[in-house]
Order: sequence, then structure tokens, then C-alpha cells
Amino acid sequence: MRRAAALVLTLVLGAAVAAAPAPAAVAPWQAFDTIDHRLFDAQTELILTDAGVAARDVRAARAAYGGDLRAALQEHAPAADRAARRALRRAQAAVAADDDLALAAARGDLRGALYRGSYAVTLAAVRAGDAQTAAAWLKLREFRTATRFTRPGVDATRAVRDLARGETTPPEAALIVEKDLLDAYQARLREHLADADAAGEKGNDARRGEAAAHAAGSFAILADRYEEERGAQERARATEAFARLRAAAIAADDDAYAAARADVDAALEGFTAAPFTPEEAARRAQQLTRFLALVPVEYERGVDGDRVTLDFEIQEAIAFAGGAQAAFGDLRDQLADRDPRATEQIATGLAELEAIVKRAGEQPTGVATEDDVQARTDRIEALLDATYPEAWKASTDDSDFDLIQITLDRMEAAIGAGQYGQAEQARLEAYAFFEFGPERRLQGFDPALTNEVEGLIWFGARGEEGLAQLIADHATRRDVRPTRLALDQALGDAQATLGDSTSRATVVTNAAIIVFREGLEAVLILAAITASFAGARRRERRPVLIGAGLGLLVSVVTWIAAQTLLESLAQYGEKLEAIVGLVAIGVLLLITNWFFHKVYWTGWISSFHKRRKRILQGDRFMFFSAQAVGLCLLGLTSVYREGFETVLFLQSLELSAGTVAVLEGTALGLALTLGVALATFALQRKLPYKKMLIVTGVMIGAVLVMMVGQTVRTMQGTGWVPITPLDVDIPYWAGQWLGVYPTWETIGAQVAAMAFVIGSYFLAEEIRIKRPRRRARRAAAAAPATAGETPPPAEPEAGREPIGGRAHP
Amino acid sequence: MPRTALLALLACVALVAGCGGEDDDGATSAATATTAAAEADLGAIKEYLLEHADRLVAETESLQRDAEAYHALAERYDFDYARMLADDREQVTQLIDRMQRTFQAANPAYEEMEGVVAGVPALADYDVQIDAGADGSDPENAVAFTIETPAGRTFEQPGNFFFLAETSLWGTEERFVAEGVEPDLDGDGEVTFGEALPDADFLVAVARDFHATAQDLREDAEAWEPNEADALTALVVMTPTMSEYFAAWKNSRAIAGEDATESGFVAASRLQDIADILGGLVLVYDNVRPLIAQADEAQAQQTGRSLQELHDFAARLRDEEADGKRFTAQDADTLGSEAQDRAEAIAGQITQAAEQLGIELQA
Repeated sequence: MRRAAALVLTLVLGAAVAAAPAPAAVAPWQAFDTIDHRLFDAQTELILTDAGVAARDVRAARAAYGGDLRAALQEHAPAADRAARRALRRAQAAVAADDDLALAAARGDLRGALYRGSYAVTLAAVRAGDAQTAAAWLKLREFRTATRFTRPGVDATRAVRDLARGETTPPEAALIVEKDLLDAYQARLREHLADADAAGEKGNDARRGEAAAHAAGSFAILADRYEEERGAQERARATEAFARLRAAAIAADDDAYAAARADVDAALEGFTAAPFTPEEAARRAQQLTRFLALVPVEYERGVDGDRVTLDFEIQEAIAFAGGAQAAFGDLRDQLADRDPRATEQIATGLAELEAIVKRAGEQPTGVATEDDVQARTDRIEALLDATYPEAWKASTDDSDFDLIQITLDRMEAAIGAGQYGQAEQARLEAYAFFEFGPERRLQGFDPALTNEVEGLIWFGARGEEGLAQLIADHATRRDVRPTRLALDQALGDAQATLGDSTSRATVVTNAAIIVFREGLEAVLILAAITASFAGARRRERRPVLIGAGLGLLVSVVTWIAAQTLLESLAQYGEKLEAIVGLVAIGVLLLITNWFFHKVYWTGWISSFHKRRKRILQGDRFMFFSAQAVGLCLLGLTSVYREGFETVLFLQSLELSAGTVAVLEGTALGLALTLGVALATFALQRKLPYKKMLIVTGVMIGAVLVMMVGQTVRTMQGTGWVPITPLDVDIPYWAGQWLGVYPTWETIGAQVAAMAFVIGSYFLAEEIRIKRPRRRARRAAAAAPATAGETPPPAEPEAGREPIGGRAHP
Repeated sequence: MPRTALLALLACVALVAGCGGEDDDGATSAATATTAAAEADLGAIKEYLLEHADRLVAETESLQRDAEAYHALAERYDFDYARMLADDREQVTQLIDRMQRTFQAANPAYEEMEGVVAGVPALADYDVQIDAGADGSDPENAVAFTIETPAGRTFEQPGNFFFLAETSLWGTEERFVAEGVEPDLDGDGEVTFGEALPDADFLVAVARDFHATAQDLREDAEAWEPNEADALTALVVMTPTMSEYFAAWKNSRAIAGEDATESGFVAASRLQDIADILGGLVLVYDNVRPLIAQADEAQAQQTGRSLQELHDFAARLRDEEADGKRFTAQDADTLGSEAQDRAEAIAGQITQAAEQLGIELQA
């Protein structure tokens, strides 16, 4: 009986144990959190309560170091496992001795060891294609501190996710994960060292000890990469320097700490654990170049001699100097490989430049002059140009987008401070960075998106008000925010678009559209002017067409020149566009005036018999020369005004899409333009003369009004003309196609142009018809009293006005 | 006896079998997550925001009422504060005391929602005006407004509203207090901390504008359409601001005493602010957690736990300080650094979550 009972008991016990669920596995990050936080609790207890309570926390931390966490470290990172166990023992000894410094250092050691172990396990899992394990261990890591331009990296997370989905291979994913983690740990290493220094200055030995120990642990993660680059001997030297740093911090020995710190700095000089890809390096190089170039520009606006006049501009100069320094820091290693001496000089130059502009931010007088700042910048630029590889000298869109964002941030800051003049200046600068940077290429890939970005910067798009309107209305920062967010989104889309490869068909189509759109405007002007040249006056078409041909030729020359001069041309692009536009308008105004008078005037002079031949001869001799020059100039400016801008757009497109595709698109666009031109000229010949005149007059007026609107808008972009927005909702395409923009200046100029055109017509009417009619009436009224006198010339008949000399006797 | 022992043993076995394994957040939460909704409850975040905005409006209205009464009283005495205090001590003291208490109620009303207000781009400007903005000496972070007093004085970009009200009510900023009078409110011949006579002309102008701004915030909060990007951005942006909050705590009266370089945070310790802000962020996170869990349950657990622990950490320090514990500047450095480390880890985790959800974090 007893035996049976024992047997039953055994069976029941066995079943119960088998039925009890197994202890749930503790995720690595959970175990780490428990260990780390219990150790910190111990540190806190040494502050708040006593060592007894702290000891309990350390015991709990030691107990938590087990399970999967420890097993994985033992397998993949045995050195990290040993370091972790050592750290926990030290922690226990530290609380027993009520030694907060030793406890803090032990915690720093432990964190370094566990992150190092996690790094090894994560990579091993990725290389083995085990995405699930990798994802679990990836939660046990450090991140870069977030700043405006450096969010915590997500590349590793993304790579592991892609690995899980089979969208990438283990070796590819491992490369990305390794790069992300090394970058983060190197950033954190710098931060731990800075923390240690700051803590030492404040006399916080415990904090210094923890940070120094953690820094040594972080270096251990980078050590393999360090050895790859510098060799085993240098690795040993660097490791030893970190060990001395840690020991000095724990011993609270300031002198030893300073000496070890100098050795650590020397060891890390120029070392980048996660080297940039060639594209990343080129981007940083362009950022350095662009930021550096802007330092004297902003500084010059903010000083007068040695006196600060505009603090806002100085702050911008400081921001750009800091940006240049940061970019240089990332490239220093690669530059030093090429030319160590020049790199040292650049480093010294940048540090001095930054110090100078910062001083101007702290004191209003006795600051460096703009010439001094410019000279220093020029020297650094020359050194960079001599040291950069060729690939780093090519302009990239990414640095342009960075500059746009920095400048928009400045704009928002100015709005927040109620400084709307400065905000407007910043807005125009941001627009200039866009206009002469990414826009040219973006036009070729996505013209609609280009319009949206422009609209958001100016007068509205995507359902939001434009920044120009908001600044003019003195909107608050809160009101500006939605537009800024929409603009950030649009710029992000633009950056993504430019980063993607685009189909050949899209490039050809977009190039054709650009050429056709720009060409259409020129055709309209030429058709309007040449329409009236029929019959004997037909030859007067020639100077116009010659001018047009010259305009085409100059455009082609510009294309060739742009291959090498694109940067210079782009820099002055909008100003040049504005100047050419003004010339075109001036010539068109003259021709319009001449046109109306010529059409009606010729008949009027026919009454002067004695003088007619001479005048006509003089007309053909003198006026023809002036006329020919004017018509030629009109033809040239009409075509070149469009040609210049088109060349720049197509150049940018060619850089990314290749010459053949762009030339195909250009040819297609030109063909379409030519077709429209032929149709227009054919239509002119078919129209009844009077109707054709009316159509011509209207066309000239329309072209003039459109040209005036666009040119004034361009001049607003260069800052030559102010911007006073109208509270009217005008779609952005109206501006692009009709030159209609919602500002007082553009609309006002167009109204003035229309008044001129209409005024010219009525003036011509007055001179040709009404005044002679009045005179004829007066003469008729006086006729009975003067019988026998020669009757006055008959009033010219309407509808038979001499054109092109047809009415000449 | 053996039968009894057998029964007892069986009972123990049954008990052990029923208990299961180690209590593990992962296992229980995993089971819970399968039934949890996979959407963020953004409505709860908005409700939280509106409730706190209502409180702030009510408190600032009360502050304005008392500031108007204080101004009227001072005006009766032709702004001769010494005479006012001598002749009407009781009323003056009551008004000051009431306004100080109103301030102490208004502060958490805002701080508890600051995480949302400051973290959401559409509302962030209010944080500048109400709590975070500097004065004109820091143009990039300065408030945009100017205070215009009934007497016609103007104070351009003077600093944020909480700073203005607090330093005036507690007398820690000379520019904002009555001149030519010792603020010995209780008449005991000694001026102790908390005894102050604000400049009535200045205070009433601040109170009016503060109330108007609170009303604007309430209106815009009502109009705000919360989205997932807003919520995650608020968490990423606000959580890592721990170091500056702890730095303000270190420089405040609570740590530095009479050597304090920070004239604010005298009415309420910065630790209270920190705990309140984190409490708000915990609420925000709790409401977006189901969304994150949808993409990565383990990540959702990790971040939730980290954020709660950070909040508990700050709350514990607050409670210890309120119980009389005096922290040194070194303690504040150590504790602040730890909080910052944890906060940055949380920000990093949420960034990963946003990536997995395909949500773009805003500026």
C-alpha cells in the first residue's frame, strides 16, 4: 500500500512538473535594463539612504546577469562576458566599501561590456541570416544623440527588417548594421569623453569615473576597426591610453587624467570607425565648401568696420562656421591621408575663423573686419581646393537641401523674434539656394513638384499660404508652421526624386516640355512683330529673324560655356535673367510704340508731297538702320531670354540623365516649337489684313504684359524690387504661363504696360485720324471764306491704311 | 499522518503547477498584445490636452482677476506701495498669497501637457511663449511678444509668461517688483522668501496677456487634429530635454539656495515640472503603444518600461526633495546625466519604431 502511494505520488509529482510552464525567457534588453538600473539604484541609494540598501540592489543586478544574455555573450563575446562579471564583482566590493566612485566606474565598465557583447551577438546573428535574433539583440544598443541634422540612425533596424523579409542578403545587411552601430558607438565615445571632462571640471569624480570607464568600453567595440586601419601596435597603444584614463578617473588623479586624455585624443585623431561611402563623403565635402563660403557673406552683412551692426547676421555666420567645422571633422581623416600638412592648416584656419566670428557674437566692437574674415576664408578654400579629390568638387543637391533647411530655420527664428525684415532676407536666400541648386534638375524630373516648392516659398501651394505672403502679413511663428511643414515635405519629396533614377522616357519628355514651353514664348513675340511685315515690308522680317537666329546661336554657345562655367552662371542666373528681360521689355516697348505709329503714320505723311520721297528715302536710309537694329535686338533678346534659362535647366538634367536623352528631348521640343511657329506664320498670311492687325496688336500686348510680369517677379527674387502681396488667390500656373503673380508690383507693372500699349494705340489714333479729322473740319469750315485756294488733302480712308509701303504712290 | 502529508504535498504540487514560470513582462504582455487594439488612441491624447488647457485657462483667469484687484488697490494709493502695505496689509497679503497659490496650480496644469504642446509642431510656439522662451538677449529662442502696461511702459521680449509671473510674484526679478518698499508682508520686521510686492502695473499686463494666450492655446488645441506623427514626434523631441531641465534644477534655489542663478522655479521645484512633463509623455506613449506593438511588440514593451521607469525616477526625486532631502550640485549632475542617458535611449527606440511603422517624424 505504501509502495503504491509512493508510486502514485511520484507520478503525480512528475506530471505536475511537466505541466508547469517553463520559465519565460528574458529578452536581452530586459536583462540589461534590470542589471543597469539596479546598479544605478545602488548609486542612488548611496546618495539617498545607505550602503545596505545599495548592496541589495547590486546583488539583484548580479542575479539578473544570466540566462540568454550571459549564454550568448559567452558564445560570441567571451571577453565581454568576463568583463561584465568582473564589473559586477567590483560593484559588490564598492558598495561594501561605501565607495560611490568605484561603484560608478563599475557601472561604466558593465555598460561598456554588455554593449560590446550585444554588438558581437547582433552581427553574428545577421551574418547567420537569423533576423529574429538580430532584432532582439538590436534593442540592446546605444544611439547617437539627436540634433537638428543627426537623428538616431535607423539603418540597422531597416536592414534587419529587410533581412527578415528576404529583401537583402546577410552580408549586405551585416555591412549596414555594422556601419550604423559603429557610427553610433563612436559618437557616444566622444560624448562619454566630453562628459568625463565636464564632470572633472565640476569636481564630480563619480561621474567622471563612470564616463571614463564607459568610454574605455566603447573603444573596445571600435578596436577591431581601429586595428584594421592603424595596425595592431596602434590598437594596443590606444587601448592602453584608455585604460590609463579610466584608472586616473577612478583614482581622482587630475594630472594623470589630463595626460591620459591627451594620449586618447592623439589616438583618436582622424579615426572614423564607420567610414563614409563615397557619396556621403562627397556630400560632407560640399557642405564644408558651401558653409565655409557663406561665413564671410553673412559676416559682412553684420559688421561695419570693426563694429557689429546686425547681430542676426553674425549668428548666421557662427552657425555656418560651426557647420563647416562639423563637416571638416568627418572628413579630416581622409583629407589627412591625402595631405597631412594641408589638413593641419585647414584645421587651424577653421578653428581660428570660428573663434573670430564667435567673438563678434559676444562683443559689439573691436571685432574682425569683413576683409579679415574673407581673407581667412579664401586661404582655407584654396587649401581645400588643393586637397580635395575631384569627386568632392562636384556640387551635390544634398548640400543644397541642407542649406535650404538651415536658412529656413533662420527664417523661422527671425519670425519668432518679430524680425520680419531678416525673415524675408532668409526666405530669399533659401529660395536662391533652391533656384540655383536643385530646381534646375528637378524641373526636368518633376515640374509639378518644382511649382509646389516655389509656391510654398512664395504665394502658396498644397492648400497652404506661401511664406512670402505670411512674412508680409507679419504672421506669427505658429501661423507659419503649417507652411513650413508642407515645404519640408515637398523638399523631402524633391530630394527623394532627385536621388532616384528616372526613366529615359521621362527625361526626354520633360526636356521636350521645357524647350517647348520656353520656345513658345519666343515664337509668340516673333510672330506678333513680324505679322505686319507683308508686301514690300516683308524684308523687314529679316532683321527680326536674324536676331532670333543670333539668339539661338548665343544659347548654344551658352550651353557649351555652361559645361565649365555652370557654377558661375548659376550664381548670377537670376540677375542675368532679369537684365535680359528688362532689355527685351525695353525693346518691345519701343517696337510697340513704333508699330502703332508706323502703321498709321505712314499714310499721314503721304500728304506732304514735296517731302515724301525725301522722307521716304530718309526713312529707308535712316529709319531702316535704327529699325533694323531694334528689330534684330528684339529677335535676339526674345530668344536668348528663354534660351539662357533653358540651357541651365537642360545642363542640370544632362548631368544626371546623360547627353543623348536630353538632346532627344531638346530636338523634340524644338520640333514642336517650329511646328507652332509655322502654323502661326501661315495663319498670319491667311487672315484678312485688318483682322490680322488686330490679332497682332493683341498678341504684342499680351506678350508684353506677360513678359513684364515675369521680369518684375524675377527682380523681386533678386531683391531689386520689393514684394507687397495682394490678398488675392491666384493659382501658381497663372504665374508660370501668364506672368500673373499676386503682388502689387507685378500686377502694377502689368497694368502700366497695358496702359502703355493701349495708350500707344489711342495716341496713334489721335495722330492719324482724329487730329487730321479735326483739322479737316476746321479747314472745311473756313473753306467758303477762302474760295479758290488749294483744297486741303483729303482725309485718308480708314481700312486702306498703307502698310509696309503698299500705299505709297 | 502519511495521508495528511500526501495531501499536503499534492496541494503544494498543484500550487506550484498553477503558478507557472517567472513573472515576465514579456510573456504576459505578449498575451495581452494579441487582444490589444492595433491603433493609437489619439483621441485620448487630445482629451488630455483639452482638459489641461481648460485648467490653464481657469487658473490664468483667476490670476488675472486677482491681478486686476491688486492693480486697482495700488491705483487707489497712487502706486505708493509702502502706504498701500501699511494701510491695507491684510488685503495685500491675501491677494499676493492667492496669486501665488494660483500660480502653483497653473504650473502643473501646463507642465503636465507640455510634452504634447512643445512636441507637436502645430502647437510648439505656445511652449515658447508660455514656458520655454527666453528674453531678447537670446534672439534665437526669445519670445516674440512685447508686454504693454496700462501706464504705457513696454517690455520687449521679456521672457515667457511663467517666468514673468513667477519672478514678479516671488520678487526674484528686480525689474518686475514694486520699487522703494520692503515687502514685509507679515510686518514682522523681516523679509523672508515668498514675501514680495509685485509691480502692479507690470503684473496686470502679464496676467491679461497670459490669460489671452491660454485661451488661444485652448482654441488651437481644439482645432488640432492629432496624428501618429505628432505623437511620436512629441515623444522624440521632448524626452531628451532632460539635461536642460536638470540643469535648471541644479541652478535653481532648490539646489543652489541663495546662490541660485536661476530666478525662476522658486514656487515649484523643477523636479515637479520634470515629473509632470514625463507623466504627460507616459500618457502619450500609452496611447500610441498599441500602434508600436503592431510593428514590434518587444519594442513597445521596452520603450513603455523605459519611459515609465524614467518617470518613476523623476517622481521619486521630487518626493525625496519635498520630504526635505537636500541634493548637492554634484548629485544633480549625476542624477541629471542618468536621466539624460535614459531619455536618449527612449528617443532612439521611438525613432526605430517610427521607422518600422513608416511614420515620418517631423522637425
